[in-house]
Amino acid sequence: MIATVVEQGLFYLSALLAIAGALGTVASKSAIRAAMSLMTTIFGIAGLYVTLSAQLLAAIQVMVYAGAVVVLFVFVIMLLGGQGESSHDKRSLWTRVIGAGLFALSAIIAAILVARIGLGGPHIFDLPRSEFGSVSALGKVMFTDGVVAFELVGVLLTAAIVGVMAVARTRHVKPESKSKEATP
Amino acid sequence: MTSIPLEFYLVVAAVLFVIGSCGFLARRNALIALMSIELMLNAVNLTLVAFNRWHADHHVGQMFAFFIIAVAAAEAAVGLAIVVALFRLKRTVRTDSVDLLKN
Repeated sequence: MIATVVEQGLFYLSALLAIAGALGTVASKSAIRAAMSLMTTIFGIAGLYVTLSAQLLAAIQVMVYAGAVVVLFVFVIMLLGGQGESSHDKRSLWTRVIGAGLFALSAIIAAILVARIGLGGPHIFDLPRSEFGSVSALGKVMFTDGVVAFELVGVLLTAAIVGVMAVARTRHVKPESKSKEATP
Repeated sequence: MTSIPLEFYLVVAAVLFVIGSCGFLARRNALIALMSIELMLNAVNLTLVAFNRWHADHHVGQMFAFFIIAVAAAEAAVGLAIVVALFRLKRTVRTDSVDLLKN
């Protein structure tokens, strides 16, 4: 009984955090507020993972997204300064109203479809095995069935690092600033 | 932990995905467009984990979500490097000012 109340509270709080953070990410004027809202969304989704008994994924979510991706976003925002504040949008108000209406309609239709028609009635989860979602069970699967993909992810991350260095160190800065960078 | 039905998670994921796609198409700030892509990837991950909880005799969905998280991290790094290079070139991060290939 208490567990049910705790679970439902965690679910609704996490879902509210996730959706409010997503709205804040999309709607906020300044990029730094968008990044903080994205972090709210990420914590909300980690809470939803906990209610789905995927504890390892919840931990990975917080570490990779809140610890790496959002921090990287904040670094870039701070590096570029207060850009994007002045919004000269060339599109007319009418176009924006039509776009927003279409998106709201598609969101409502998606929610109705998923909730009512597609699957037929509420699906209550069974009680899982005790080791479902634990580090040992998921790790065993990842190093037996998914070992090729796991190694390929390593190759992908290495290629991404090399690509980032190649893109970020492109030489089209002026010579005086380059010599200033070369001699710290 | 069995009192929330599967559909609730799917509805939350669908709403997150639509918000993310709306932001990606509507915002003109390249950084916020990248954050919207992250939102969409998170929505897909939530769907995968929810369906894996429904078919709880294996861990394939959670494994797939793990790989998606890795790909999303790589994508964020490359995208932010492109944004920094773009800012060096054009002194702005607005996507509608990037028209080098247009004329």
